[in-house]
Amino acid sequence: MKETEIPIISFKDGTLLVEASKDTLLPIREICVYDERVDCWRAEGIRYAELIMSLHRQNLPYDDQARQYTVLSRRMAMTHPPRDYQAAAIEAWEKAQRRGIVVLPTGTGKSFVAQMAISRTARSAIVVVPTLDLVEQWVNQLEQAFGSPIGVLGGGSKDISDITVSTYDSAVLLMETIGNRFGLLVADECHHLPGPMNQMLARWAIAPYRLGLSATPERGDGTVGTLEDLMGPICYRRDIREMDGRVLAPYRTERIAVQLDPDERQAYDTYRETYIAFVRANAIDFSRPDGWKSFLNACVRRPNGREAMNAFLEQRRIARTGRAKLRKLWDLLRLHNKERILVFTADNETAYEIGSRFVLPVLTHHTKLAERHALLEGFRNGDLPCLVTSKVLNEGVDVPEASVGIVISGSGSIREHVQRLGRILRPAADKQAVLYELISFGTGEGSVSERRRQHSAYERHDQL
Amino acid sequence: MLTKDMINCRCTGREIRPSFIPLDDAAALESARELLDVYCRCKEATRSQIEELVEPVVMAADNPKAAKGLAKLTEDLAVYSAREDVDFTAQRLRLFAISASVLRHENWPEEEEYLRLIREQAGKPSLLDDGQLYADLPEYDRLLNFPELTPPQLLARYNCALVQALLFFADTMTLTIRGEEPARLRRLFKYLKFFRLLARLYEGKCSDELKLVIEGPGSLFTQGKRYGMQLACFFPAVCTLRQWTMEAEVEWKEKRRLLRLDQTTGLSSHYHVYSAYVPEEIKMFHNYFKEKVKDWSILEQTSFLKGRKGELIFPDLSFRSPKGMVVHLELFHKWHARPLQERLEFMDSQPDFPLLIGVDRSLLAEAGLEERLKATPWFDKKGFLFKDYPTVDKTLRCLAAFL
Repeated sequence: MKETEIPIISFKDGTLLVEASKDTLLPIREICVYDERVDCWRAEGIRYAELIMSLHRQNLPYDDQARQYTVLSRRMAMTHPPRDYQAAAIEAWEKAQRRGIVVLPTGTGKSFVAQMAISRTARSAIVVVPTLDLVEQWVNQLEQAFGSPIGVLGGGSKDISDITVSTYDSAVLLMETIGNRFGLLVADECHHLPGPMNQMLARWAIAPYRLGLSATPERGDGTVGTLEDLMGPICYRRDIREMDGRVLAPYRTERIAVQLDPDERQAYDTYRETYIAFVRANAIDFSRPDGWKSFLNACVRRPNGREAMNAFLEQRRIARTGRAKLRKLWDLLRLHNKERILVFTADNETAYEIGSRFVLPVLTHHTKLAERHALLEGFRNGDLPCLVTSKVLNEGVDVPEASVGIVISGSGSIREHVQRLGRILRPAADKQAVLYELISFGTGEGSVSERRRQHSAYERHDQL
Repeated sequence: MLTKDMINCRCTGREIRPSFIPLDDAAALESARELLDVYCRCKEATRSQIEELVEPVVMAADNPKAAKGLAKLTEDLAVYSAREDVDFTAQRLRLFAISASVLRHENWPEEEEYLRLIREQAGKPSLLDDGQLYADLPEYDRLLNFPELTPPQLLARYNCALVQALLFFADTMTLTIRGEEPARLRRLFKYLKFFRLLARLYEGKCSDELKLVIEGPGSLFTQGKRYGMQLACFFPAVCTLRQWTMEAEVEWKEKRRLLRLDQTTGLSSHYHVYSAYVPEEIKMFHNYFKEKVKDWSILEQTSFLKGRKGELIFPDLSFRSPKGMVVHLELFHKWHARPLQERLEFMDSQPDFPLLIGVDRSLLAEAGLEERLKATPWFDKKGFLFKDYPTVDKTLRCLAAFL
């Protein structure tokens, strides 16, 4: 191709195809790779802005058949002015060329920042979120803000509009074919993005404008760099300590240690001994990154592996759901019977055990959409004072009425614990939030609890 | 699909070898039979009941890891249905409304009294009667259907699934095919396209050998298992070939290993195998052409042609002129509207390509196609319309354009 000829840019399978001769002198050489399989130049979708800018800067003509996103005609109906930090966040994002990550604590209105970004960018936008509950929440908020139907991808829906909300899973499945239909990519809870599959949705999308939102972008596995490659740099950050009492409800956290019943204690000790003996005999070191994997491998290979695995599961089950914990839960429900309470468990089995025992609503990924909607609505309007959940409410779902959180069991993840705390911190008049953490005394739960509390959110608020 | 913990394989040097189960392995056949029995005899059983019955079969097997894989494959084939005899959501919401009202009592009841009050207000029958409050969870789904499968067929599926599970950790597959008939090749390339994979084609060492390097569109940019799932799904199509060798680099336990297999492994595919079945109309066309036409000859085998952007064209018939020139005929039936559009575009860009286009008249119902054909200058000489199947006369008229 001669320099005067016009390269044709198209979108195919999450990549950009550029029709130009193999020996072209155009700047596409620096961005694309020549693909012998299809006799075309090819680049990842994410490099669209860079490709167009490079041609544009040199005043070179091109035929852009890739871009299928449109200019938004609708504007955001601003029901209230942004808070100072929200305004600062959007300005910082603008300064970062509309590619960046905003870090704000849960409950401080990150979605409002996204609405402003959609309005300012005025291009078709896709918002990706981790759960179906968040899809529903975002759809409601965006419909209110922009006053027209919002597209939904996920939960059986494949409806694309100029503003669309999708689960990460659906976006990963579909972005290869629809990645050219959005000019703005918003990734809520964007710490999920660097995962090997999730990151493909950001690579396949051509969106020149990108906004990442998270309270906790660091995953502890050194993937912040990948996140910044995909969405842009962290352009604005505020800590939970700067927000407490102003835009978040004042709160306290309380750890309650309960004693196992004597028969449970005996069973716990026996199982624990079997499990620990196996771990020592096989020199398994859980402080190593592959510690858990080594344990599983040993359980498969060793003759007493099945017994060890069973012992591990049983001692964990007793610590997580000892009878004393359930009695204490009942006491706490009584203590706060005029408030809205969220009960968190580490697994679905425990959640359903509690739900069945106390006839309480349980929300997990098994809960069907209609019931999920009815339960959240019932909780918000006060018809249902208590919801039991394992993990689906960890992130983002807006339940501002909740003022009490009770952690029956959880992992050692700091992120999970901070997110659970965040669920009860949405501000409301005269609200004093409290997060209880029930620990079976003298079990492995003590150290798990210590691990998950290594966050500034707990520095001033602990009571034991 | 098998999960990583179910993969049975051995590593020797740089190579990784799946530990296939011989199809006549008595113990494995017995495990397979027991598993299939569970599913065939337990229609209407719940998922958890089936799990309970399957567990002892797996535990008692000589090779529990393989048995776990067989159990996973059988479970994947089972079709369950959720209970529809009770509206669980409505009944639960009613019970939660009752429990919420009891929880708001000024005089907080003890747990026993609390439950008694709820039962009293709920009346009978209710989901509380037999601990049915959450009886619509997946573990309570009932087995609706299970396909007919013999124990050797299940073992064959396992062996194929074992390779698929390893390919999940691959980014490229190199496939060498020898002496394959065009019908099977056409099918293979359809699967390739269906799974959104691309192939680089190389000629093999012999004239009837073809080498394909198969990857995803974005494999140029990132290594890893990004297209592993697609390669895994594609693999059963490879097993439909008669002579093949497949090589793939697999990321296994933090090392790159070579997975190398060929048709001697005896792997079979559960994908439909379309053999060289020749429709009656083609046979008749061949016979009539041979009888009627003396200068042109009709070829028994039709190879594929390279189109643009890596596309392969599989013509339906091929002819040789008196001077040895080979011209092909591709037929487009009523279900080929989109491929026809693509072919017309291709022929527009290369009108001298040795290809005739036959279009079924039923396609003219497609919006704008009739006008498109009329406005296509080369179609007058190198294309024609037909009803059901083309005639020799029409074909000959077009072939004359090449003389």
